[in-house]
Amino acid sequence: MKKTILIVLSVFLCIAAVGVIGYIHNNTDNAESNKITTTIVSDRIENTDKKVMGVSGLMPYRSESEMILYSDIIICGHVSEIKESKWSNPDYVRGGNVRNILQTDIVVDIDNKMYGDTDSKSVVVRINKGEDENTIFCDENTPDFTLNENVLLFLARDDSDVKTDEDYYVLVAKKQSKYVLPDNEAMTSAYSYDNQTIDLTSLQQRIIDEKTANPNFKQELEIEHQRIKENNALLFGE
Amino acid sequence: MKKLKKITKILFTLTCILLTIILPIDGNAYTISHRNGYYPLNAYVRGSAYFSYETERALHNSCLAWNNACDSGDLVYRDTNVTYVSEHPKSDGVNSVTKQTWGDYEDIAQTYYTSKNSTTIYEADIALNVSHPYGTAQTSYDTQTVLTHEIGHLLGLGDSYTQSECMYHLIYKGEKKGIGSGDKTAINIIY
Repeated sequence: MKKTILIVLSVFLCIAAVGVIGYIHNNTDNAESNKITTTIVSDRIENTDKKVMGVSGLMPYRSESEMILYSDIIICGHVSEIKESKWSNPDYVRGGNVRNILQTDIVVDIDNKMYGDTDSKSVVVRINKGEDENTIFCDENTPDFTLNENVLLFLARDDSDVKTDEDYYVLVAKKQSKYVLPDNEAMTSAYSYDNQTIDLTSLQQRIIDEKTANPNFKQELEIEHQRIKENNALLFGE
Repeated sequence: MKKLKKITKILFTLTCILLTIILPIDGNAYTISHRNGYYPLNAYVRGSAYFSYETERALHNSCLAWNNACDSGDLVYRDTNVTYVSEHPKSDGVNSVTKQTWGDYEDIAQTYYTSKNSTTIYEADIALNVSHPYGTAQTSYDTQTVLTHEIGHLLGLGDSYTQSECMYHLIYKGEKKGIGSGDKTAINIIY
């Protein structure tokens, strides 16, 4: 009799334990995956007197191969400076077709150049996100950077409407193209909900393989852009 | 034996209570970015004058999909007027849908909203980044899927991390999606 009670109790406790662990795990993941949204609806923003400009978008999925091919430089480094945010087109002096958004320059000191034609000791990464005395501009898909953070970044020259002649790069796939470095062995993606990791030891070889297999990627992209422009004109006008 | 029956009964009840609490919590299925949603209803989204019939139809169907998902009534309609404005975002009281050329590294589409706080959306402008291929082909991004996602943002939903939901934050070429169960739950929580 006692034995049966013990078995029933044990089974229940096991189920309850699994449930509690699952619940905690689920909510930990949730907190992590909701991080960006939580940033937008955080108390700081809800209670601010500042004007909040929010952006939510839909990102194209980019595989590691695509990110390598799109990149002009791929670097491991650490964030040494976060500059003051600036408007991209104040008073629309650059015309109505250039967005006026808050951007922030992140200075990253290069520790290990994985790919690219640069001898600089640091690069500037410009992100479409920022804050000034009156406005907070949030972009759900743009990752945050923190001082001294160790990062692996896939970067390219800006090809957007807000580009300038200044010497800076942008992320090739927004938060998909920023990885944080937890230790010296493996890279864990900042994109923590799918636990992507990048093995640094073999990344160099994969970069060489991809770039060698697709030597004319950027030129082919130009041709593809022409085809896209023609097709999209049928859907959205010239 | 009686004691065992009693204990089993209590345990069964406790398990039921536990399951009732835990099962509906599907943390990764949806997020709500603006808990009061769009105000005032109904929202109207106005497409560009240069959009094709196919694109306008996609816009209409996207609105319809959200209206069908909401149990408390219609939320959003396609405005039969069109906009000639290409500026984005533009604070003019109109929820415009325009095409923009933002390059390969920007999103497929974005919804901009401005507010004094982040609980209610009063206006949202949707931009379609035509640097990416749109259409219904396997090599393109499905216009209606993209618009449904963006109108979800206009209505106050955040990005989802479950791939079957239309509010999933990534899109693959050739992927066509309607409203998922998490999307439906979220919209019915707001409205």
